[in-house]
Amino acid sequence: MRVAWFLLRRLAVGLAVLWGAATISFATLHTMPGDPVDTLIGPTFGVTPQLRAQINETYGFSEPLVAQYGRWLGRLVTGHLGTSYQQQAPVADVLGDQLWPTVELALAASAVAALLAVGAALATAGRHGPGGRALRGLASSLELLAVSSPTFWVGILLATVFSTWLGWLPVAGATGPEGLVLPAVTLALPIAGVLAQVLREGLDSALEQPFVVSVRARGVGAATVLFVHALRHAALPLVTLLGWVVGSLLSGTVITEAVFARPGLGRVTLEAITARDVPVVTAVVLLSAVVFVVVNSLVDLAYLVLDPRLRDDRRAPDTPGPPGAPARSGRSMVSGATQKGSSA
Amino acid sequence: MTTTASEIPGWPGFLAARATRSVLRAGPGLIAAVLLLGLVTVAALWPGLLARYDPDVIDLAASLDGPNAAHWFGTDQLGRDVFARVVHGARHSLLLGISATALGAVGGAMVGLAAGLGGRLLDGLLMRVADILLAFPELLLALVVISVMGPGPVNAAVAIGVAAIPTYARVVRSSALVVRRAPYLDAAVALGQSRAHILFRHVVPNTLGPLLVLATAGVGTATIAGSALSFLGLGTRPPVPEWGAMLSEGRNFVESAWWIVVFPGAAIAATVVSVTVVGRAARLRVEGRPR
Repeated sequence: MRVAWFLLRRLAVGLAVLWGAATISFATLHTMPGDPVDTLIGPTFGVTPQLRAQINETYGFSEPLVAQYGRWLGRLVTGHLGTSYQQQAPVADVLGDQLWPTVELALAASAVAALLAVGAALATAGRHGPGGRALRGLASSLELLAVSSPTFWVGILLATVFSTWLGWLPVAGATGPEGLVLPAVTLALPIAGVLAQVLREGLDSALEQPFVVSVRARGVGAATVLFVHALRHAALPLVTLLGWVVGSLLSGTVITEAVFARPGLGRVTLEAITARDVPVVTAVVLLSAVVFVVVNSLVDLAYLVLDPRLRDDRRAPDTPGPPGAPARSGRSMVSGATQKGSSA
Repeated sequence: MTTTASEIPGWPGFLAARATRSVLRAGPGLIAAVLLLGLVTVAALWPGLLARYDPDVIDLAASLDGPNAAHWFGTDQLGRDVFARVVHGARHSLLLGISATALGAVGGAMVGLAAGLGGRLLDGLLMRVADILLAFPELLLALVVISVMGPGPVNAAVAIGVAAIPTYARVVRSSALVVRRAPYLDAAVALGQSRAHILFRHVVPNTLGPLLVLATAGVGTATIAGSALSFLGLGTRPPVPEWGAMLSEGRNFVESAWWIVVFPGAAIAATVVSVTVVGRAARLRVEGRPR
């Protein structure tokens, strides 16, 4: 019952966010300097006034902005995203064609990031001997480097070393699973850096908990404690980071796809922004808003499932972000609203 | 005989002891980071002190030479000295990162103070808009701003700065809410101090700490974002030796001349690492957590 109520509330908040995002992007993109007709036609000369009038008529540019907004919102509700200025095709088709390569890349990158982060954290957590200290120092330095290196630079370097020099993997532009490896690793590295830091902190604090002592006292081996008990405890803060991870993947694909000449949403976004293709840009903004709403609802739901204490008072946990991650990372929409409620 | 400052007993000794103590406490990582930032600052302000060559002089006879005694970082496809270009690029890359951060922090401070000190209605409105904007990755927001304003170095800085405003606004608002209820503010009001005096003498200084900490780390993120926009052709354009622009120009030659790409990228990474290390130290200091 509580979960149903929760979902209903989330749906309302999500729709409000979507409406807000749609309105802000409409307002921003329609105050663009310059005549949209020029953007539509491109740099051709000798546009007759008749043609200009006809385009204005077709797209409704001459109507007042409020009327355009109402019409556009109405179409949006019925699922029409409009027509791309640049490609003269429905925006849904333009984005739909490019959806899979990006999803594929994002999934592969998440897997790589999770693997690297868990590996690095498990190898270094709870080791306080001299060798362990050195290993921890090395891991932290590598993580800092991964977070601080520009994605495009890492991508170019990886492509040069592994494709051009060693010839292990196909050069940029290749399709197929081999072509996915380098882009996925490039996209994953900065995310893995942040996740590893958070996970190690979580593991370290889990290993100091009383339950570890009692589990050990029952005769459970150190490895089992680390892999089974502590890891589960430490994974909880990672759930909060999911929204940040998805956001990083979204913006990371723009750069990764450009470096590796891959098709995908990032590339479409970049082209649309360079060509000022307003319907496509708006659709990308809306798409990422949908992703944000869905991911954050899942995160809050996961918390309700994972941590029964939260079912009593509806406060979502408000864990601070990890070092290197933006401050917003730990904050979900619900906790933002609660902060507001308690402070006003 | 005149007495100079160095002869006053105790004073320089005290300073030296204090400096030594803080250096010892800092640890090698922080010291290296501060030194590197100092070097980058010198490169940005007086590039001529570090680089012997002109970054824009073309010498086709010496194109694509590997690193050697004359050209430490080699030469690019036009025979320009890569070391000189990296040194001179510090100014363009840092200017992009710092001005974007300054814009985001100042804009965020104004929005955050207005929300934290203003009425409930204003607070609710501003924070709901901030919530919606926080739904988007900053790079995407910056790209949308660029699609409105068009590409270019100034617009790229504005885009990154505007995209960062919601984050800063949130932090300033929450510290403004704390300050607002602090007893010393009641005291100031009871003493009959003017609103402007209270705002600038009490509220602003007390909300500044968290903002500065966030902004220090923000310079790193903004520098990466700025060079990324330049790399994508939306910020500083070649032949200006901005680090991201150098990468987009040089990447076609990377197969035969790795140095064209390695050094500008390493400059970005080293700068951002140093900024992050210094930012962390600043945060630990402000939050008063023991190291």
